[in-house]
Amino acid sequence: MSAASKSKQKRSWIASSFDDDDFSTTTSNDTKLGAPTIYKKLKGISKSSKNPSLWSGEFVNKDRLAVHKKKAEEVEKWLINALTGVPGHRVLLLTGPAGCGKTACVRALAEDMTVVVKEWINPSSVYTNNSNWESRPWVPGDQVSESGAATLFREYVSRVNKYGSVTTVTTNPSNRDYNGQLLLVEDLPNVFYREPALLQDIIRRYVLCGRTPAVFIMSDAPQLEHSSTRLFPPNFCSAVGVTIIQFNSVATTLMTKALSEVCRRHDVPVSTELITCITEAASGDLRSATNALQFSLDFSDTTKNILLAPSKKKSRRKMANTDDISPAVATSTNAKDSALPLFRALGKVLYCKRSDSPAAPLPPHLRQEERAPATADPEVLLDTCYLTPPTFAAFLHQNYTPFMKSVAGASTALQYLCDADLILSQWADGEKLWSYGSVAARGVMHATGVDSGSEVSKISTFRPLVSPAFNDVTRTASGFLERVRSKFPTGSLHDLTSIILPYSSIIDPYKFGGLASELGRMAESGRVKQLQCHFSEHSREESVSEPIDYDDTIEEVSD
Amino acid sequence: MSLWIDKYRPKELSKLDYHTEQAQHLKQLVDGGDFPHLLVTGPSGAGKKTRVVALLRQLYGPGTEKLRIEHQSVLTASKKKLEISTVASNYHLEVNPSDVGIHDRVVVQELIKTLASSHQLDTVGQRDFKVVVIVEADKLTKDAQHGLRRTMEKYMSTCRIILCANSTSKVIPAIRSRCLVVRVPAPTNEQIVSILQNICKKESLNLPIQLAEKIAVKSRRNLRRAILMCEACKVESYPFSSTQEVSLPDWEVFLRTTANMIVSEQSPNRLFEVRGRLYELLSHCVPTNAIFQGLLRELIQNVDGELKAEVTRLAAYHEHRLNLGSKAIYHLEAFVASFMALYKKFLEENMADMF
Repeated sequence: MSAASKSKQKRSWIASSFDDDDFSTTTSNDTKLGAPTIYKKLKGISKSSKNPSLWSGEFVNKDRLAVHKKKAEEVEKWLINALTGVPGHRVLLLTGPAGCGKTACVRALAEDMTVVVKEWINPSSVYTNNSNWESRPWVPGDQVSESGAATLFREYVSRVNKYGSVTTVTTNPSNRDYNGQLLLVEDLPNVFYREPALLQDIIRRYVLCGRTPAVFIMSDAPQLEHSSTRLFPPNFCSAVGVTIIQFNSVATTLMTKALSEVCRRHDVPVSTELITCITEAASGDLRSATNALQFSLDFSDTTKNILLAPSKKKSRRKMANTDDISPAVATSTNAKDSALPLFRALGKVLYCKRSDSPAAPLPPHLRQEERAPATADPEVLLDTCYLTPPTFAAFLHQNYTPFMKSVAGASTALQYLCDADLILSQWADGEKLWSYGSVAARGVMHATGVDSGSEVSKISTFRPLVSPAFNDVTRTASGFLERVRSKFPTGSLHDLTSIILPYSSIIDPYKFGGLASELGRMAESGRVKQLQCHFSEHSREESVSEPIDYDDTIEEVSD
Repeated sequence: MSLWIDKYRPKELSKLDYHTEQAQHLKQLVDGGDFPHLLVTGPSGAGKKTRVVALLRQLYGPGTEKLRIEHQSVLTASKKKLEISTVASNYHLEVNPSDVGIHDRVVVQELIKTLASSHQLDTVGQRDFKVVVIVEADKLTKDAQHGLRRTMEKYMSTCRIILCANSTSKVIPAIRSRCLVVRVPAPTNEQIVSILQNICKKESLNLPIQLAEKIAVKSRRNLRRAILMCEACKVESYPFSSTQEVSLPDWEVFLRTTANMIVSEQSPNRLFEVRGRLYELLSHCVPTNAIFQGLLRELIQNVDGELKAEVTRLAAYHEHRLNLGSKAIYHLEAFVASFMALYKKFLEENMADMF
């Protein structure tokens, strides 16, 4: 989540109009200082005099929330409990897929209860903060020290706790009982992803002495290290008393309703076909669905250039057919499944469709290397799937064997995979060499064509694509190594693992706390457990409907 | 109950079983009161460590046997904290810096600096220097070796360094020239046989000479392996019989089956199965060069004479590339695949000749 929001912030410097969250841009001046900011309510429609505002902001309203009623009630109940001071209601964690209305729900409810939302937004850079700290009014207890994002965050949180908001107390004579404030944290500093213990420490302290309820919002991320369970492990939550409310992605009916509602509000005629199309493509992400809707409707508008600016690379090819709003455009703008690009890229490399045009002639001694030009460009493929070249190579390595028709072909493919490994492991030259990461892909594509020639075999067998077992193996191995080291602080690992431990497993299996027998004994089956990857389902669909025309789905919009 | 390899390790230079002349030299060297930095080289299981420990005992007395394990943390230039455990007595410190990978320079320098910056308390009864034993010195990065060169000169007055390495080829010349190189050759088969018989006598076991010879051959002149094999034999069946099978480590048996699989069928599918087995080996921390050696040894036995040179070349080529690259499995599998391709082509050609 933080990576995405980072880039979001960055983008806002370039074209603020495209930012999906108006609030961050308006408040960013204050938050750069890491100081508490009073969150100003902005009605999305009121801003429409300027650039066209985004419709996705409009769901921040209790009546327009596209969240399931029960969920919203749950959150509301928690908020009421928290604001009236029921114990055990200090910290709330909202999780769920991106764009399912977590933030909107909190904001809308807070507005409804006239609670001031104080939101932490990552300072755009710590340096800015350090250079003009003098301009910041000194607060008692404030340290004039260079501080990282974690320190800033801690200070911010404690200050929210200490000082009530001046404006609300004076200007709002409170029509209801809950005129407190609410701490909203959506954008955690990156430090915490590296060291979750830091955050847990802050929260633990906050629960003990905090008066203001805090709401943490975490989007589900595909990567493990960004997941909410890592930052908020279950045992920590139960020990400290963090309430967790899990949001589900927006249901299709709710989304369709919300989308047509938006259109009606803006007096834009829209076909139901488009709405269904967008709803399907968004897979429960209301924000992206609304953006897509607005995007596709604005196409005929004069503002299209502004809107297109941030994503020009991917959308350039779509400019050709801007005249009619085809549903395909709408769907292609927000393909959401993150595994899909990877799957497509793998499929294109492994199946390696070749065009009908004849191969460029090679000199006689290279005749056997002649191949018809491939239809897919490996560099582009690597670009569209979000993996680093080494990971992509690992995926290829794990999956290439069933596609090889002979050992010679497999050998060729492996040669190239090795070459890619050599190139990519030159860490000193870093990213420069990563542009050569397509060596692996090109090699495998070259090898698959070894003896296909005329009989481009109709492959009908089911070949699931799986994620590399390599990481699993290294993890087990390093776990063993750590244990070996704790038993034998010095001494050559080579001797230990190849001679001493295997023999001690024969001599005395229980020696060294069972380590000897675990390390020394092989599982005779020898088959490393095949990991069922998360995209195995797609592979099933794809491999059933073999030859696939990829061309109409060529465009992917990442993020 | 400790393993025989620890139980019957000679503790004094005079008690060493072989290379007695060299032991005599070492004793004279130490008795002179001082000695230069040492570089002890020799194949694995030849007795390098034994000699170093015995030398230290000769130097400082039995105090070197009181060992304690220390966990030290060293801060790198990029503020990364490295944990390394060392074994130390009052007189010496033993460290294996190859664990910390590319940060070994900092570790080596810091450890030596902290050790060397304090003098011995009682210089009358003791030597006025301490000893740092660096294990697996040939695994040190070039960077660390250059750093070590400076450190060696700087702290010459308070510190001696003993480097243990399998081969001198990976130690830079600048270090080699600063050290006295002590080469410890592997014991001969006769020496191994006599050592095994001595051990069995002390254990009051009866070891037939045939079995001892068999073990000596199987151990490939690695004394550590030989003693472990002997103990494993004893555990598996005692009293010994001269026709007893000498058991090999599990992974070697596993590797042999893998090699047989490779020879019996050459297809992408088989390659996939072999990969699974290679993964199994890797996940049990079997060193990659041991896998290469084992595979080559088994494959060579199975192929025709004219292919032997080519197969060996392939193994050497891929092992070299493995050391340059980062993911071992690619290179191991590439070796297997290229062997398969070569072998299959060879078989097909021979078939064609036959008909």
